[in-house]
Order: sequence, then C-alpha cells, then structure tokens
Amino acid sequence: MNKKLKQGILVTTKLVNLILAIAVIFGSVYFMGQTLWPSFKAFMGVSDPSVFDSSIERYSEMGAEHAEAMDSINALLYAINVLAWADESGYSETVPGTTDEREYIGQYSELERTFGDKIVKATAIDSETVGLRGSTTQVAYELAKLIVECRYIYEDLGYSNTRCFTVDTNGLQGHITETELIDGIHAYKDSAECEGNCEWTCDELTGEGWFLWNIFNAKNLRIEINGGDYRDTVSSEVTPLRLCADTHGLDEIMITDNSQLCHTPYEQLVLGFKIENFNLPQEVIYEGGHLPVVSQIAYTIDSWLRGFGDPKYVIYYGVFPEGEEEYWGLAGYQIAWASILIGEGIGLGIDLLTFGFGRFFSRGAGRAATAVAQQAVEETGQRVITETVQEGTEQVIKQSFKETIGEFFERIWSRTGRRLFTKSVTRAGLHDAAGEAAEEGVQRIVRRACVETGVENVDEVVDAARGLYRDAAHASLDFLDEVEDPIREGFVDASGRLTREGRERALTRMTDYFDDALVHDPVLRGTLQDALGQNFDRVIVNLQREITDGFLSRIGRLSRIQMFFRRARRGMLTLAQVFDPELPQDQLERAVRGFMDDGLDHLRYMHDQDLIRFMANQQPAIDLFMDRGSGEFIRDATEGILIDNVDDFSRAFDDGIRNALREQSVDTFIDLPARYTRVITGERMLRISKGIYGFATPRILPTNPRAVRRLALWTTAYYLVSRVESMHAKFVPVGPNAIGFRTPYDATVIYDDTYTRELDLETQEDYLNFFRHYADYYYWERARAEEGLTEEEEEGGEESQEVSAPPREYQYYYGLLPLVDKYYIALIKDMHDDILGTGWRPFDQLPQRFHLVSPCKADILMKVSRCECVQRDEPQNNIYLTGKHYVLNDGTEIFYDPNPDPNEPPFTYRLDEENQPYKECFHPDWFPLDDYKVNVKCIQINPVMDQTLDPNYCYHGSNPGHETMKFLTTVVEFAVPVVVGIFCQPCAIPIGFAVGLAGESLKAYVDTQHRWPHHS
Amino acid sequence: MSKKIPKNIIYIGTGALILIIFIVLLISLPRKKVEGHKYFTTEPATWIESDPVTEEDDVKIDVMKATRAKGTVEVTQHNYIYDNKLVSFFYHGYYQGKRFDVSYVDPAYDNASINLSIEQKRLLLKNYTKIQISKRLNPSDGIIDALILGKEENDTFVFYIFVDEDWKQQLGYTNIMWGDDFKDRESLHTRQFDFSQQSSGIYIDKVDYDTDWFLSDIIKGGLMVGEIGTNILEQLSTGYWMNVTFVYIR
Repeated sequence: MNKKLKQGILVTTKLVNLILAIAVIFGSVYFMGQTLWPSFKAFMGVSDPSVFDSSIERYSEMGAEHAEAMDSINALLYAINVLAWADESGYSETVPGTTDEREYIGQYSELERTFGDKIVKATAIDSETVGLRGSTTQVAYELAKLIVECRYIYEDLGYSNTRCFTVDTNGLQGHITETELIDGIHAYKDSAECEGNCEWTCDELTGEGWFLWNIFNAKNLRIEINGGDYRDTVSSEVTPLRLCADTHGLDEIMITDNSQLCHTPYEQLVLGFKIENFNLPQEVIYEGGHLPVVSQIAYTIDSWLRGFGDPKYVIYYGVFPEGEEEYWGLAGYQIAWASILIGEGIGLGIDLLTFGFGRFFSRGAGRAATAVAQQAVEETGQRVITETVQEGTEQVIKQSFKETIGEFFERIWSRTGRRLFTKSVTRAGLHDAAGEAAEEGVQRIVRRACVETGVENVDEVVDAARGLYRDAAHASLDFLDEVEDPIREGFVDASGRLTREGRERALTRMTDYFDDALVHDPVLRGTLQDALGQNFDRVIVNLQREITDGFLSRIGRLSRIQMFFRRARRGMLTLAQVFDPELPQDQLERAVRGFMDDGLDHLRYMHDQDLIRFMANQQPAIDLFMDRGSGEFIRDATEGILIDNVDDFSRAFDDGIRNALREQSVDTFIDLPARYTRVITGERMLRISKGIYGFATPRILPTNPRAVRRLALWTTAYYLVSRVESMHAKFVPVGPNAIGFRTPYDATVIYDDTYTRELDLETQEDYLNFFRHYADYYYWERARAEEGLTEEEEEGGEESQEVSAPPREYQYYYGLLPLVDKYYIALIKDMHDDILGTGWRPFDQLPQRFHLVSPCKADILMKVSRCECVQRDEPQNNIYLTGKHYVLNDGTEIFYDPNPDPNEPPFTYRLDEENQPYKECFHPDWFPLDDYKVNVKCIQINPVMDQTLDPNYCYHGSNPGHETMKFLTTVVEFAVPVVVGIFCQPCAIPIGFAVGLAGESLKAYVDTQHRWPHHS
Repeated sequence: MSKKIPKNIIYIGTGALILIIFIVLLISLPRKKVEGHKYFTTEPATWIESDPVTEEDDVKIDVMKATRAKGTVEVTQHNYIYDNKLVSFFYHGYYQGKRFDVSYVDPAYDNASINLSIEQKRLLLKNYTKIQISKRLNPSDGIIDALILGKEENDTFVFYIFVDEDWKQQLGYTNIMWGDDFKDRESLHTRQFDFSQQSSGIYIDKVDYDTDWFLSDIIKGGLMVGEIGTNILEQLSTGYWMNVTFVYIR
C-alpha cells in the first residue's frame, strides 16, 4: 500500500480514537456530573437540602401551617379586644362641651384588619359592603357567591333574620335580571369553587334539583328592587343594595333596595365581626388512605393520636371544657376486643354465679356454655371459664372463679392494661377509667333493669346511673389524694395495687357516697327510684358490686401513675419513680416492658422530624439524669434527690431491659435505637437551620449499644410521661381573662392581660392606636426570622431589605385587654332553626365555654350578647362569687375583686387544685327549676364551618343518629336474652353472651365514625 | 310733598310679613317627635303575618314590628334593648315532664332519620316534633307552638304570650304564673290564660304588671305559661317528676 495512504489511515484512526476518547471522557464526566453534582454541592455545603431530604420540604409546610394558625389566633384576639372596647365605649365619645351627647369616632370599617390572609371585617350598621364590578356575567357570578355565603351564615345562625352584605353596584355594566342571576348561580355551581354542600345550596336557592326533592323545594331567592327604570333588576342605577336573609314568610335570600323588607335585628346595628378564612389546620387522613402528594405533614388519625395524644391546635377560654376530650380519646378508635371480651366475660361470669349452676349445668346447657366460652373468650378468659365448667359443681365454680379473677385481669393486662397505662391520668385518666367502667357496668345492669321494668325514659335513667357510678368511683379513691404517699400509708403496694386496707377504705368511701347521693340529691333519687321501682335496690347493689369488682380491681395500676403525676406536678421527675428501686425485679421488668411496648407503639407513628422536635424539647430534662454519650445516670443529679443508690438502680435498670428483651421481640426494640441514631446524628439531614425548625439539633451521639438502649428507653419513658403531662396541661386554667393555646409537647401559650395592663390606655385614640398596631411586634419578629433563612440559603445573593423595628411598646400590643375581663367568652354551637321544616337538627346544642380544636376552617362570627348562667356559690366545691370574702379550711383567705363591672351581674369563679381561678357558667338545665341565675355579658363566637372541607372539626357537633344505633344494639343485647329465656332459660345466658358481644362490637364501630376529626 | 303709602298696602304688607315670619317659624321650630304606627303597629294581631306561599297555615310573628326594631328572637334567646342596655330572656320548657330548650322532638326521630339525607331529615322532623317555642307557628299541624315576647308599652314593660290552636287542644289547662322570685311561692301571680283574643288561629294574652323581675342582676323570677301552678312548681323543684307541659322565659 502506498506509504502515504497508510500514514493517512493511521493518523485518521488516531484522530478518530482521540475524538472518541474525548467524547467518552466528556460524556462520562457530564453523565457523572449530572449524577454526582448535587452530592458534590452538598458536600461543599451549597446544595438545596431538600434534594436529599424531602422531610425538609415537610418542615417548610409545618412552618407555613403554624403561621396559618398564628394568623388565625391573632385575628381572633384582635376581634375580641375590639368588640369589648366598642361595646364599652360605643365607639363614640362625648361631644366636647356636653355631658351626655356622644358622637361616633369614625367608621366601623376603619377597624378592619388583616392577619396573613385572615380578614377581620366589621359587620355593623351598614353591614359589610362589597363592591361589584364588571359585566353582567361577571357580576352575576360574584353575586351568586355572595348569595350562597349569605345562605351559610343564615343557616348557622339558626335561620334568624340576617343582614349579610351591602352590595355596591356602581361598577356594574348592564342589568341583571332574576333569570341572569340564576344563571350566575348555575355558573358558580358548576365551577371548581363550589364543592360538596355548595352545590346543594345552589339548588336550594334556585329551587332546582332531582325531581322528588324538587316537589318540596321552592326557590329561595328574591330580587325586589323598586327604584330605577328596571324593576327587580340589579343595576348601577340603584345602589347600594341590601343582600340579606329574610324569614318574612318565605325564608329567602333577598336582594333589595327596600330596608323594610330586610328586617334588621337591632344587634346588627351594633358592632359585630366576621373573621374570614379562620383556620387551625391539621391534615389527618383515614387509615389506609394515601398521603397527599403535596402534603408531607399528614398523619392518619390513629397514628396522630397515638403519637401526640391531642389534636394539633387547641384553643380555649380559661380552661379546656372537661369532657370534650373524650371525642378523641384513643380508646374510642379501637374496637377494643379485649375489653369487650372482658366485659362480656365478666357478665358471663356473673350470670353463671347469680343464675345458678345447677340448672345451667344440665348436660346440654353445659356443652353449650363450653362451646360459647371456648369460642368467644379465647386467650383471656378461656382457662378460667373452661376449667370452671369442667369442675361441674356450683361451689367449686364460684370459688375457682373468684380466685382466678385476679389472674383473669393479669392476663388481660397485657391488652387493656397497657392502654390504660398510657392514658392521661389523675383526673383525666381516672375519669377515663371510671367512665369506661361506668359505661360497661351501667349499660348492662341498668338498661337490663329498665327493660324488665318497662321504663319509658330509659336514657334519663341510664344517664343518672352513669353519673352516680362515675362520681362514686371517683369518690372511692379520694382518700389517696389526702395522703402524701399511699404506699407508705399502706393503702397501695409497690406494684400500685390497692392493699386490703386500701380496698376497704375505698369501699367505705364508695358506699358513703352512694348513701349521700341518694339521700341528698332528690333529682337523682327521684329519677332512679321512680323509674326502677322495686328493682331500685337490686340495681344499686349491683352498681356497687360492679365498682368493687370492675373498676377498683383495675384501678390498682393507675393509682401508681396518679402518684407519679402528682410528684411531677410538684417538680419532681416522675421517671425515677417508675423505675423505683423498691420495685421487685418482676415488677421492674413489667414496667420496663410496658414502657417499651407502649412507647415504641406510640413513637413509631411519629414522623422523624416530629421525633426530633420532641426529643429536642425533652432533651434538657433527660440530660439532667442521663449522660447522652455514655448512657450513665448522672450521679449528682439523681443520688440523694430521687434515687438513693445510683449503682443499684443502674443494675436493676439494665437487668430489667435485658430480661424484658428475652421475652420481647428484639427486632422492635433494636429499631428504636437505630432510628434514634439516625435522627440524633442527622445523617439524613444535611443542614438544619434554627430559623426553619426553631430548635437546635442534638449533637451528641451515644456510641455503645448499652448506652443507646438506655437512652432509648429513658427517652421513651420520658415521652410517655410528657405525653400525659401534655394532654393534661389543657385542664390547667390559664386565668380568668385569658385564652390558652396548645400544641402537643409545647408549653401552653397564654394570651391574657399581662402585657396590656402595663399600657396606659385612656383616650379613644390610645385604643385605636393599640388596634392599629396590634401584633405588629410579632409579625416583625416573624419577618426577621424568615429573612434570616433567606440570607443563609442565598449566600452571595441579594441582600434582603431590613424591616425596621417597631417601637418597643408594641411588644405590649398583644394578648387580651383588661376590659375583656368583663365578659364571658362563649362558643355558639350547632343549633336547631326557628322555622320548622327547614332545619334538620332535632335539638340545639347549648352554648359552651369557648374552645376550638383543629382541624378547624371556618368563618367566625362574633358579637356581644348575653349568656345565662346559674348562680352558684359553694366554697366547699371551690365555686365562688365575685365581691365576696371567703376563708378556706386551711385558713387561706380569698377575696375576689368586686365584679369587673359593678353595673353588671356577678360572675361565678371556680378554683382548680392550685387555686387558680377561672370563670364558670353553669347551664340552668343542670339545676332545679327555681334556681337563681344571671344573664352575664358575653362575647359569642359562632364558627360558620367550611362545608367543602372534610374532615373539619372545630368542636363536637350534634348527631343523635349514632346514639340511636348504640341504644338499639343495647336493647337487642338485653331484650333478646330475656325473650329467649322465656322459652329456654338455660339458653338465654350463652345467647345473651354472644349477642352482647356482637352488640358491643357494633356500638364500638359506630362510635368511631362520630368522633374527632368528624364534626358530627 | 312725600307720597303717603296707602294704608291697605301697609296692612297687606304687614300681614304678609307676619305670615312669612309665622311660616318660617313654623318650619324652623323643632318638630315634636311622634311615634309612628304605620309599620310598627300596636295591635298584636297585626304582628301575626301569614305565609302567602305555602298552602299551610304557617304564620309568623314579626318580632321587629312588634318591638319597634328593639328586639330579636334568636332561637334560644330573646334580646331587647331596654334603656340603652341589652337585656336577654332565655326560653325553656317542659313537655310531659321532659325538659327542653326550644323544641321537644320525639326520640323515635333518631331511629327514623338514620341514613336519610339532610333534606329528608328536615321533612321528617315535622312528624316528630311535639312542641316548640318559635316565632313561626302553625295552629293546625299538631305541633304545640308558643312564643313569649317582651316589649315596652306605655312606659311599662309587658309580655305578650302567643299560643296556637294545637296548644289549646292538647294541654289540659293553661295558666300564666310569674313573679320576682320563684322560690317565694307566695309572691307569685297566677291566673288563667285568656283565650278570647285570637288571630289566624293564634291566641294572644298579655301580662302588663309586676314584670320587672328581669331588671335585677340576679334573676330570681320569670314567667311561665302552661300546666303550671305553685304546687306543681314545688314538686318539680324538689326533683319529683310530673307529667306537665309548659314553657317559660327567664
């Protein structure tokens, strides 16, 4: 070959190889760079952390969510303050040179403000004015939205005459007839803005819908405009127009220029407020639902309550109303098979004992009973029942049953005991336990008696008996609160169970309470005695027996926790008491096991970042007693204060863990320290900024497994205790003039008059300035925090603009004004309406102490009105009237200041255990007919809930349907055995057992559908 | 020589001047405020308005008209601006011995309304409601209707009581009992309801003396209408159950 050609080919080949090599190298570099560049950036500390950790995105959402809640609370507090001041001052001042002539200071609209996207609007004489601009199609659509909104307000106010808006149509181009308005409603109905109940409301207004309903549904919309050239049309010629809900015979939403057609209630001629977009957000989804793609912060209902105990945001006036927390008590979400089995098992046992074994243990009935027992009472009661059945003689059966009842409860402790163990304790936990026991016992004993007697007002009788049972159960353990240390006194043993002496004391207290209640409470006695007749005595005896055998035998475990909690509230750490060195080894193991299982069970459901937050909040307290690095107990802190011998305790602690691990699945417990390791080191987190998360990342890493286990268990135990404390905190009053705001594991935020008392507000202008700058300091600080984040993320980017600091006195422009103390703040709940046939709720929910619970999205209507309260003055029950002087048993003198407003009726106050006062308002229905009462000034807060949001809770609404379901199943439970017993007496018992089992499960299922976060 | 103004011109001019002055004074004098009754009528029968749309006998008491826009009835309470101060009255009742606030519904409604839509529940509610305190009354639907309304009249405070035909048919008797202190039985006034005045099937009575029980800070009294008397009040207050029906306002 030609040499030159060969050289040419060689060069070309080399050139091609070079090009290919370069291409490969650059391609590789490019390809790897695309993959590794984010890592490289992260390594260099300049990446967006959310690329690696989507939970950071979640935290941004949490920050936004918290800001939403804070904006809502600021709007609420602002409106309360302005209402109180406007009512007090009349929003007017004396005309100079006169003594009693007053002139308005300004327009009510000047008091309107926004907090985030929460708009506080005045609803006063001229009502809320809305300007409408644009073409007829556009305005008709906007008008349709206003009409639907007016309907919502109208419905929520119980169909009272309501002035919703004043409509300014100056900007309308053209004329809108009624037909075009209805077209506008159609357009709105078809739009994405109108969801759920909105569509139904549109049909209600236009009188349209599917044909059966349409027969009854007339149009509920009317235009009556007499001015201008075009009658009954909306135009710019006649403005402003009134948009109102008028019950003038027709229950319509009206658009009119005739003020006499919309009869304005006088109260709407004074100041009221509407807060738009009020929102205490909380995303909870149902079990099995997919986490929303956008939102990373949603929990399932079950997992949220397991982890946190209470809903995310809870606000309340003075103190959280006791009893309302039952609607999210975790027990209600579990079909507690164990407790159902226990309840039915006990019932079966009692039946066996009381109905006589002789008849029961005929050959056929014995086999039936065995079959039923074996089938239904599996792991918990089987041994008891089948053994006793096999014995065959009545006496032996009874004795055996009584002896093994203790063990019976031991076995079921592993199921239900744990649940009881982790509940909120002292008042709340005792309340729960007593309530549970009351429910089971009363349902069985009293309803059965009512069926036998043929009582008509069964519900009333059951309610009375339930209350008696619960109060007696509480009273039976009162003596434990009277002693410093029940163990030392010999009432309680080391494991927390009542000793014989304690049990005797409890029984004495219980019977005393029964006697006292039935003698001194004529209403109770009358209700029960009249209803039950000759069965009265038997029912009372059975109730007492139920308390003895049911409640008191379970309560042993809780009494221990009562003591722990009492000590915690006195500032002593409860954890050391849980791992008390006096505990026998097996008891320590049981406690350790309990904490492991319960704690893991709860903490497992927490998102990692919530776990970080929790640990950060608790870390200082944990650090007091345990060195995070080594896992050793800190000698100085623990010895002599809480634990006499740290070494012994340390050994016992480790032994407890080791022995417990032998029985428990090791995997579950290893998972926790692994997870703790991960969150402690933050290995999934590249950067955590204090500005975003509001806390510092724990930095110390325990290295040895023993230390990790100890830290994990100690933290878990502390979690359980702090969960209890967190849930209980809402029952600690925040003051007579205060709003409390709670999120789990955080200290309660109290909005009271501490700051505002320092202000020298005298003139109207002083107050107006206060309102203009209310919460300004908070928003300035928030803006600073957000800007700080921006600077970190965008190094070298634009400098943010400085937000100038407000005057220092604006720090005091927060909380409640002192004059709000002249009012009681009430929540207006679901109400019946005043037009028969258009309402569907058969009864009204009574006004209640103000409280709201997330999720809560609503427009809030507020005004000053009056609330009726029965006047009580019972110093022995810590109930006091203002203006009076009291000397308590311990010599403490209490004097409540003269009524905040001497021109108004007195308030009733209640003291909690720590002598903290809060206003109380007892409803007249709870007291005798002729009791004295007062109509106090109150600020009524009425949430108009967003119908398109589901779930949306705010407070527990009314829905009697499910109560009926429960009642029916209970009737069936007792009626069926009675009927069967007529024809086949031995058959009644096992059949009753089986039917009872089915009935209880059904009731439990029904219950879960009508609890938080369902409004009703 | 000056021309003399004719006397008749002087007289006419003076008269016109006087007339003008008189007219000006008449116009500029502040008018005495006279209470109008064209809309805010004084006859209680005129406050009862029928529902022109439905074929039923629904009527409504126009509270605004009755109270000259000073009062409202908001479901459970009746608010009134009295002497520039807000006073409130709260409604309660007993139906055959069972307490209620505004309406009593047969508990069987709960069962009957399960799984119904809201609209169906609304329609069904009529069939189970036994008694209600409301400004909308129907004298012939079988539901006992009543309303007690307070207002100022002739420098005193009076209470108008409205009950329908169903009330008259279903209750055994109707008394009115009122006073300053329910615990002081001797001080209470009691008389029979006067059914002589009626309009559109609604009977109207009025209590116009000794009605200032609501002015004290602590409300000890009130006004009751129905199967009530001092002995019945005594029994109920001690917890004894009685099969009586009445409504009251406090």
